[in-house]
Amino acid sequence: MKKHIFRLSLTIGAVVLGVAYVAKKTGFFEDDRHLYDEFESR
Amino acid sequence: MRKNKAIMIGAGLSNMAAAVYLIQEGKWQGNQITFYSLDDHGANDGAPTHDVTDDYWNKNHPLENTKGYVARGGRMLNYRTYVDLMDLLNRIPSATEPEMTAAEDTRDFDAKHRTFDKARLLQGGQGIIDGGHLGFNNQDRLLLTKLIAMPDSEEEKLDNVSIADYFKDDPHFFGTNFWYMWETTFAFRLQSSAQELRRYMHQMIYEFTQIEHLVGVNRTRYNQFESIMLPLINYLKDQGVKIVLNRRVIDWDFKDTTMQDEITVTGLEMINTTTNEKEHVAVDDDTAVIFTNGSITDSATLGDFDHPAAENMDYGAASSLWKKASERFYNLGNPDKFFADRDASEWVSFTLTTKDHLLLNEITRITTQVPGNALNSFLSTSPITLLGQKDVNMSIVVHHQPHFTSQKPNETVIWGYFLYPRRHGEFVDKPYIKMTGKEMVEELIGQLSKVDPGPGNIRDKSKQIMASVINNIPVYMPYASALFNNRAKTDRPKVIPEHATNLAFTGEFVEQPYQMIFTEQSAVRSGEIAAYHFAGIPMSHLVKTPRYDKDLKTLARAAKKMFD
Repeated sequence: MKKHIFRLSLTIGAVVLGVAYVAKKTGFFEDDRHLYDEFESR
Repeated sequence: MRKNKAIMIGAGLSNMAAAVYLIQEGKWQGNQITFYSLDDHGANDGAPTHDVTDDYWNKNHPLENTKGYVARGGRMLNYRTYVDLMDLLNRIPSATEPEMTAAEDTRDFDAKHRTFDKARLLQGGQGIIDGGHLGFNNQDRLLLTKLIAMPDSEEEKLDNVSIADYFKDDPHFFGTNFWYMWETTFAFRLQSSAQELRRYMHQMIYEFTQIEHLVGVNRTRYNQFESIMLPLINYLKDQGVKIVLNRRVIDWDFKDTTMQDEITVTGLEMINTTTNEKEHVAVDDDTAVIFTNGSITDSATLGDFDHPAAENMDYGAASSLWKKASERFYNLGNPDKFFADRDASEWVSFTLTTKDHLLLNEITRITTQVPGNALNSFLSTSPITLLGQKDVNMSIVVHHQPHFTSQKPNETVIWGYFLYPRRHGEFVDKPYIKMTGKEMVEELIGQLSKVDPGPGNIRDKSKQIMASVINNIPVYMPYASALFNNRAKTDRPKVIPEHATNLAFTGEFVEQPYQMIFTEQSAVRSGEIAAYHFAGIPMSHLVKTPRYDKDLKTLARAAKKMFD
């Protein structure tokens, strides 16, 4: 049973890491709001 | 930097938007704003032909036949993406519908006339093609996925990469239904910027799943001058804004500084195009200068039923002024990238006016759809590209009728365009650019005859159709696709350039985050940014831009569509 849980955890962990990697590579979590900072009136 | 007065160079959509936001959000009075411009219809034009024959670019090319209507370009809207445009239109009254804002006017019309294109692609021998089958192979899918997956922060990797460069190992891509529809819906060419194609793939990703029907496309009630520009002009005049026309601004006075990088406008030199006299306008410390630095309809010329549109070799008016500024400061981009490569940017369009609905009904019969619903593109039956592939010859937009408020009930106005005007016609053996309005109608009837399902054929009615033509106005636009020209991110000035104290750039030739160009959306947003900057309004108050490229459902649908 413990072995199964370990394998399941490992699989879920790998999937999460994979998704996070792809999301980072594709800029999924990039936020462009700061790009407007340079347009602010000073 | 906050200012209390503004001079607008150019009276197109972006500067008009800036003026509205200055008044409504900045709480300015209309009399704090002055426009100087050659005309006030911008690229969102549309008018009876005789109304525009005295326009700056047309004076040297007088027309014999000034009947009918002309719209140099044709635009489609998209509520979901054009959020800044819809915000703007919601702030001003409609010019034609009492008690409605311009946004309500468009939404009302569009709700009653939903777009559902049934004949997006047509080809001789096959008739209407199922554009829903995009036609990708695995290489196409891989390259397109890589393009979509590239994050905003890595966009510079596509500096100076054309679409032809990006797909150089995959010519198959240019023979897919997807490309035929994408290039003619948005007017991309092989030489266009892959960086811009990437932005389109991001901002229009949901259109990917419905491009064969153009379901997401929204239309204005009338032509875009009467439905978008005229409400703006009326509103701004009511507010006391001064709009000075027939002025071509030709040079700048800039403040001299030790480091020579501070951009402060101190004066403008202009020509009164009515009197040909030079005028000088001083710009004081409290005045912002908001400059639309390029127009895709600059240098456009008109022909008529019996004459082709003359080629006008002038550098654009707005871009000439941009060039003067960019020659002085290093961070204002490179106008030649957009205005010195006509081979990449030129088109020919035509506006056909008929006295009855004979041709309209024939098109309705052949395409199986009602007017107002469609963009129809005619695919060649033999290879016509440099890569030896088939491609779209010409495209037409059959508007809901009437398209002009002054149009008689029985008249029809149809607009069409040739994305590659140096190619030869199939039914008139000369380049499209050399064709008269009459020859373009012959070419159109020829293309329709190839896809006519019968019984009978539209060619049998050629004489009656020709007799029904009031006029057909060819328009040569050397810079129509210039905004898509291959570029690096530094080739366009930022809306507010670094070291600028009172100068902002607006329109379709400016750099702003995420926005794709050739949309009223990006034009309006640039004006909104400029207005907020000079009125001291935080940028966090800008209209929120939806990111469909980060919506998992949309991405999943697009991924599935790639395999259709």
